[in-house]
Order: sequence, then C-alpha cells, then structure tokens
Amino acid sequence: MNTAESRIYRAAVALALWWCALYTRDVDGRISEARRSELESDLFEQGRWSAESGMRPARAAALVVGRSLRGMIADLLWRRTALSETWGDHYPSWARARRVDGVAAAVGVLAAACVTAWGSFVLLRAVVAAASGEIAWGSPTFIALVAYTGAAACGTVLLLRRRTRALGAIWMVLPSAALVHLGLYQLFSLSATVGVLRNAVPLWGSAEGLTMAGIGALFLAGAIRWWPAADRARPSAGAS
Amino acid sequence: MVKRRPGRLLPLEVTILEAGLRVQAEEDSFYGFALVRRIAEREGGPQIGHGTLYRALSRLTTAGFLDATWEEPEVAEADGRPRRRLYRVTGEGEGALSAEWSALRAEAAAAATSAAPARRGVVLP
Repeated sequence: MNTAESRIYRAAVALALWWCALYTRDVDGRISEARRSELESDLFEQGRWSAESGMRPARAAALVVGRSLRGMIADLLWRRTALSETWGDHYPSWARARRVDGVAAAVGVLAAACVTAWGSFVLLRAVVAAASGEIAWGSPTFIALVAYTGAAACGTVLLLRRRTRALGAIWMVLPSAALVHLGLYQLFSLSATVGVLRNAVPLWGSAEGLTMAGIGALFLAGAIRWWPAADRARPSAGAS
Repeated sequence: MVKRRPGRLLPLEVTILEAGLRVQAEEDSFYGFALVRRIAEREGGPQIGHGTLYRALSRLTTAGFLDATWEEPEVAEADGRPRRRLYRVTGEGEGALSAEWSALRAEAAAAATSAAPARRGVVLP
C-alpha cells in the first residue's frame, strides 16, 4: 500500500488538519483558508515524498505528528497575530466566551488524561511487581486499580466530545479521587520513595485528602459548566 | 525562544533565505515542503514544524524579503495535487541576508579579538 494512503498516515494528516481547524477558528476566512490550503499542500507533498523514498507508513506518520507538535507554539503565536488582524480591539464577546469554553475543556481533558496516566503508571508498577512475585496477582487493590484506570480512560474519551463532556466530567469524579488514594496506597508498598515521603512529610494524609477533594471539585465544576441546561441558557454563538 | 535583535534576522530566517536561494537557483521558486526537505538534508536534525515554518514564511513575506504567489490551479490539477504556494527571495531579501552575514562576520571577528589577549596568557604544554 502507498505510504500516503495508509490508515496511519491519513490519521496523522487528520490530526494535523484538526489542529489547524482549532487554531484558525474565529480568524478571518481568507487568512485561515490560506493557512489551511498551504498546510494541505505541505502534507500532500510530504506523503508523496515519503512514498517515493519507500518510508514505512508509521515513520511517515510520526514525522507529520512531530512537525505538528514542534510547530504548536508558533501556531498559537500566529493565531494571536491573525486574531488581532481580524478583529483589532473589537474581539466579539461570543468568540471570547467560546475561547473560555475551549480553555475549560482543555483543562478538563488534560486533568482526566493526567489521572489516566497516573493510574496506568501505578498499574504498570503493580504488574511488574506481581510478575516478579513481590505482590500477589488479583489483590483487591490491584483489581480496583484496573477498574478505576479503565473508568478514567473512558471518562477522558467522554470529555473529548462536546455532547458527552458533562457526562464525562461527572464520570471522572469517582475514578480521579479513588486513583489518587489507591495509587499512593499501592505505591507505598512498591516504591521506597513514596514510603519515605509518607513518613517524612508532615500532614501527608491531609494533603492526599485535599488533592482528592480538589480534583473531584474540578470535575464537578466542569459538569455544572457543561450541563446541557446551562448550555442552553447561554446566548448562541454569533450573537455579540 | 530566540529573541530578535533590532534590524537583524533570526537564525531560522537566515536558514530559510539561504535554502530558498539555493532551491530557487535550480527551480525558479520554492514551496514549503521543498524548503523543509532541503534544510533537513543540509543541516540534519528533525524537520521544521509546520507552525514554525509557515509563521516564519509569513513574517518574511510581510517584511518584503519573500514574494509569495499561489500556483495556477490548472498546473496543480494536471499534476494531481493541491495548489502550492510558491515563494521567491526578493532583492530586498538577498540584501537582508548579505547584511546579516556581514554582521555575523563582524561579531565573530570581535569575539576573536576579545578572546586573543586572554589566550596569550595561557601557557600551552
């Protein structure tokens, strides 16, 4: 199969174009269209070059994703300039509200991804320890870790879509609080560092409780913000 | 992030203008990915990020150092690909690049002069 037509390369291109659609949002149509067309041309040329040089699809896709990631800060700086060219000092209130919504969604998704990553990390440590016989397979803590990490991954996916964002935020309250507690509990028996910290840091228990409450409150606040009724109460986009 | 000194080009801008002049000598004009390929072949390292490249190209075009035009749709259609945005380094761009080279040479000479007395005091084995 041609590298440029492979599923993985097309996914990388879709990701780059999705990011482009995101950072060109609310920018003047001519400016954003020019940026998008130039990027489409670039991605096509890169696909053709990858195919001609016999590159593996996964490698070609990694190059595209790498280029997107490396250019993200410049994209955001470009957006700032393009927005000021588009709106000057009169940035409309609906666009501002949408920007706040976007930042809130990004914070929610990032927090959920961090919780999932934390759960996966502890789970990996537990699997390695169980494989070497340090702890038993299938302990209640281990099973709870698997269940809550899976639930956190589902919550992250739900948070990604606007329509399921409120559900995702409510969904995340329990696994996020549970994974903070369970993760630290499991690492206490696996990691010397956590053991030392737990004994040396004053108010460790209070800090753990505050973290659980804080992260739970963050997702609860998100659920209230994205609740469908609250969404309907807000003025529709386009009304300034 | 590299800070711009007044009246000077950023290292990436120098790289783009140099690579652009080389490609343009062979093919009359250049487009984004042709530049990426040329720079990666010459300098090694990872390919330039999309955002980094197109923001720099846009800056150089606004400054008048590059001339940008969209390719004719028929040409792109005949080749079965999207339209390219074609760039050419302008005379002003060549002048800015020459001025930057001169400034870099002067800086290197000044650095060598200021380092010389210190070096004289060192007794080499």
